[in-house]
Amino acid sequence: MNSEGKIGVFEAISFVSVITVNKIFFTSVGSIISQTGTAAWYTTLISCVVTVVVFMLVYMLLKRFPGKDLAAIFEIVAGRFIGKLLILAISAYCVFNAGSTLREFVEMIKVYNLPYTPTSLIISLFLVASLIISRYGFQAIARLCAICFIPSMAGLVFILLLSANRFNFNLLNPIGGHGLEKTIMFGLSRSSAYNEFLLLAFTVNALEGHRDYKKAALTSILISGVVFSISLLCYLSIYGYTSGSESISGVFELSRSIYFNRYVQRLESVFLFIWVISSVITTTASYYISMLLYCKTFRIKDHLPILLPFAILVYIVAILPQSMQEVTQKNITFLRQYSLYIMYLIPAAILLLAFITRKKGDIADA
Amino acid sequence: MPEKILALVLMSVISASLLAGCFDAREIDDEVYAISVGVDKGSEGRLRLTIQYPTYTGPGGADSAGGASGNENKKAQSNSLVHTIEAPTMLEAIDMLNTSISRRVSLMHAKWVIFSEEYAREDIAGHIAGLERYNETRPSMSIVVVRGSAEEFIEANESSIGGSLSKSIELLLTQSKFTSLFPMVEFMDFHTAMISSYKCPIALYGGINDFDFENNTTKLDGRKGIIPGETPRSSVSKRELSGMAVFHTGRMIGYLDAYETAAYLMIKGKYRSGMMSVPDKSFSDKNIIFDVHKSRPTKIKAYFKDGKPVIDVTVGLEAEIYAIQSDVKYEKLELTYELEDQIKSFLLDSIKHTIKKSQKELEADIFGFGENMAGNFFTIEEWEAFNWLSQYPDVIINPSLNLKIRRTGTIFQSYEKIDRKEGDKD
Repeated sequence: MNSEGKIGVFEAISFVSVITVNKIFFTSVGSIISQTGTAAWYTTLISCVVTVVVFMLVYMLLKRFPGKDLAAIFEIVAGRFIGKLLILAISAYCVFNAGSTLREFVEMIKVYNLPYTPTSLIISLFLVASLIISRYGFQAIARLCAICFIPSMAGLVFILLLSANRFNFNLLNPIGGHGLEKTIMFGLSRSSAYNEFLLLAFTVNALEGHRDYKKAALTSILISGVVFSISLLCYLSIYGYTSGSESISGVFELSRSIYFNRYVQRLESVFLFIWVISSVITTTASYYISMLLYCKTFRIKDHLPILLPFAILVYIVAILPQSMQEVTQKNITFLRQYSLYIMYLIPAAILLLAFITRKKGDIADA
Repeated sequence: MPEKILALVLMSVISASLLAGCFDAREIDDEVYAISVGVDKGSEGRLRLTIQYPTYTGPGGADSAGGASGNENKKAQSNSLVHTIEAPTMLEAIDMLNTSISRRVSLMHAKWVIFSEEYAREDIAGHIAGLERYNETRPSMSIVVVRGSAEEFIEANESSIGGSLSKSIELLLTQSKFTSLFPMVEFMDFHTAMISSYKCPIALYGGINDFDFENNTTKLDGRKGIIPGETPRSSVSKRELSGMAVFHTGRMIGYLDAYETAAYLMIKGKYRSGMMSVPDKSFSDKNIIFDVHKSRPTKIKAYFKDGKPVIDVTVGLEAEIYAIQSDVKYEKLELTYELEDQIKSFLLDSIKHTIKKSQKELEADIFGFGENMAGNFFTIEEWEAFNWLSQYPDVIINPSLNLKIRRTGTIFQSYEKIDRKEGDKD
């Protein structure tokens, strides 16, 4: 049976936080600074606020249908055919997200650590790990997140604290970045970067009710916002907006620059650990949710038979881009800036439709 | 159960063989780690690249780690090898060196990149950008400009204390903390400043010292700062660092001598400590020696007055008297206040001189005042249109200094000396 199992609030918070915050280790830092300059650190807070608003809409939708997850609600409100199409669209998005995130990671690790290892080999090994974790279902993934959440956050805080001697907050001037209008517009579109709370809405029955979902999603959105903002603030205060927009991985560069004395230096190995772990979890989460949604669409009870086919799909998405530039300028730009049209607009439209058609769930299902 | 065990064994074997990184495996012993990289102007538009790497040989010359064989080296130092090659670019030069060195040259442990002044005065921006992109270079390595040739500087770079050359370089660079006669400049600082709209890059300034006390004709002015190669000294180590090189983007346009560099560090709030001999006001041939160190961070206020950019800088220092060569009892409170004013005016003159030099002679904001001035603008577009770096020479800069003499060394009041002449009369 394709059961998601039961997880607690902490596991849910860890699940959403780890896969959302993971982006800070990638090209996101450079691209947000290149778009908004010195305003990057609060642009992400705008995205966070927008995400909270979208979350409230999603929560209203879930509350309207007690005991139902988002996929079931899609089918109830939009009808079976359109509902299934929408779920499949999100499943496809998750495959794309898993593959693109994986490829972004692979390109970066090739730049810094494994230049001669074939891309296909790194992707395959990564997918083997994801496949094994996914085999044990959502509960196992959430528990893995709970184990890795604190070490990952501690590692990030460790890197930022050790860089503290280089902070120069004057580098945050001019405070307005490239202008308020650009900051707000980018903040709005960049809210896509926080959409992972929606993945939890598809597995909401693993939690003890919708209130737990509210607690977990809201807390993790806020944690992610604070982590993004502080990381960008620290990074900008060291590199400024010019140099800061150049690096392929800002936080990795930060960890490379740590030099206290002859004994305390070269601490990027700490970073590598959290980078790899959180990337495995992010890819696995997206990969698993894509399978889960597919199973929900076609009423497949066991996800084990589709583990390999979906792994191959993720592999194809990951291997398709021909270069680093293609990954970052097409795939990642779509994921971070335009995926809100899928991930935010679909639930919002369903909520609107539910209001119009006055469809409601049965209290007895709660 | 047997299937599970088999799966576990298979997974372990596959993991061990694949995850160990067979494609990117590099044995430590398969590489040589260049710790110094020097760049000079070569012939016919090429550059001349010099690298120095330790040979890991023991004190007795035994090749303990299987270091490069003796016939491979062009110039052998006591515990390192130096190679020089000409090529179109730095990274290509390093690649070409691999055709003659039996181990791959790696920059992962490079401590400094040294440019000759002749080359730095042309433009090194392209090389810096190249190094920034190269994954082996460390952001924490230093950038040095040397008077004369980088190749000679590297040849003179040897460890006279202990066997580790890399330790020797690292410790030499950290001497900045104790002398404040040269700054600490890391590669990432240089690169960040090179593409910055706030400030101009600086580099360490070095050179070879062949000072000869017997045949010295250089007139030594007590308060004129020293530049590399001109320190009146004689020692085993010929290479030295003193002062700093100043750049416009990637082109060196001048330098600050050792004393100007000390003033620069004071303004930046990075002055840690340093000895300073200040002429005694009462006796021109006598000095008072202080240990001056930072007391609080430099306060910088940047604003516009009548449409003109103004910078107010307040430097915070404290001093400890280490020696009073005259008989004046400067430990007495009222005299201490007088002495404070004297040292304050002495250091403030030095600070003003350095600021003036940066504005009128170098036309380079080496202090990063632009970072503060940018606070008066709301957007990056407005700030960049203002073009701070070209405005800098005309900016009004008002430096001030807060200095307190906190201690008087291990003597809190000097004993009155006996007048020998009067004693003779008795």
